[in-house]
Amino acid sequence: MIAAPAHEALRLNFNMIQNPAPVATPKVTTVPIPPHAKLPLGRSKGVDVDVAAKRAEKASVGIITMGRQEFGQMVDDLGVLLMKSINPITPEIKEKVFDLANDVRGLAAMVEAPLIGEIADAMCKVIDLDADVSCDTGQLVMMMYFGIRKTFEASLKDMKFEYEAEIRRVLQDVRDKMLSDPNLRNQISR
Amino acid sequence: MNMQTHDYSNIRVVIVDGMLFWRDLIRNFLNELGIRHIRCVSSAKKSWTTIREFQPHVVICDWKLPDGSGLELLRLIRHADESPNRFLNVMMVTAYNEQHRVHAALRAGVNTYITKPTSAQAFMMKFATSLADERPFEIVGDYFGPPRNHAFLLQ
Repeated sequence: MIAAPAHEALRLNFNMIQNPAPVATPKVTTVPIPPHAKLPLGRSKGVDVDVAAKRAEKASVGIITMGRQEFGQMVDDLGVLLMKSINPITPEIKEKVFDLANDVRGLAAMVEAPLIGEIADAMCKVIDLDADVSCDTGQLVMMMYFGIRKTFEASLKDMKFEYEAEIRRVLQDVRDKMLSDPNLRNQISR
Repeated sequence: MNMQTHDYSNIRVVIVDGMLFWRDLIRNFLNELGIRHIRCVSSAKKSWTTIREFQPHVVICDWKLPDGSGLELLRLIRHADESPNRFLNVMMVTAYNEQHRVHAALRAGVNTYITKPTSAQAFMMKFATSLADERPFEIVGDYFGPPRNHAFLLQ
């Protein structure tokens, strides 16, 4: 078979752009929610969300105090796991570290440790996307853990962590590097 | 403008989360919305038994569970023959905020996806909005669940 000349191939491509293949319309079947599955919502009005949220926040104080203890344990567990297994990071270890870091990021802001939440979020993204941020992933994760540990220790003493500004700068740097990679940029949701 | 909820006194909810903190916190939020019929479980296996026995109207589950995942539970609810209610309102409350995970949950037919951490107000607003949605479900290919962007489902 004789290959089409380059200009011919370009013309073919141009035609494809102008007349893209039709996108198949999916068959959609609508299924009404049967009566037995409908929610038994009362006729009377319920509560005002703003008022209920304020009440809930007051009532959550005890739960959040309890959460701080659980949070401390999580930070310890993450450290133990990393110390034991950082080199090399196998897929199983990676998953465990990710899961623990994920728990930490979920709980951090609730127990008033937003910086730890930010570091843990960056840690999760680095692990999940296997981001090449110009340094060894294991090293980066360890550095992030160091940030979490130190911030947590400072919070226990009711002190501001002296390297907070530095950590924020590094996190921004990591985020920028990840965003500059088009493959990673599309996968980062926040 | 303040948001007024419906009366939720007859609603039954199952909370599935491996962490006691989140189970207690979400239960507290629901109590303040006037919900009294709540069961809390910590594992996927227990949750399936509880859902079948308690017949809840809403399931609030984490993605990561000690013995499985909330995503598997969601798929069971939507597709298993022994599912007590395939139209169950399922809300995923999880720290996983990666786009590919959110998409996986949407494709599995989740009603609402809430990322941790969440404030009481944000949670309550999303809960109320989700319960107010009475649109019919849809079948698109393998998908069964609340209405979604069809092009997204075909990707």
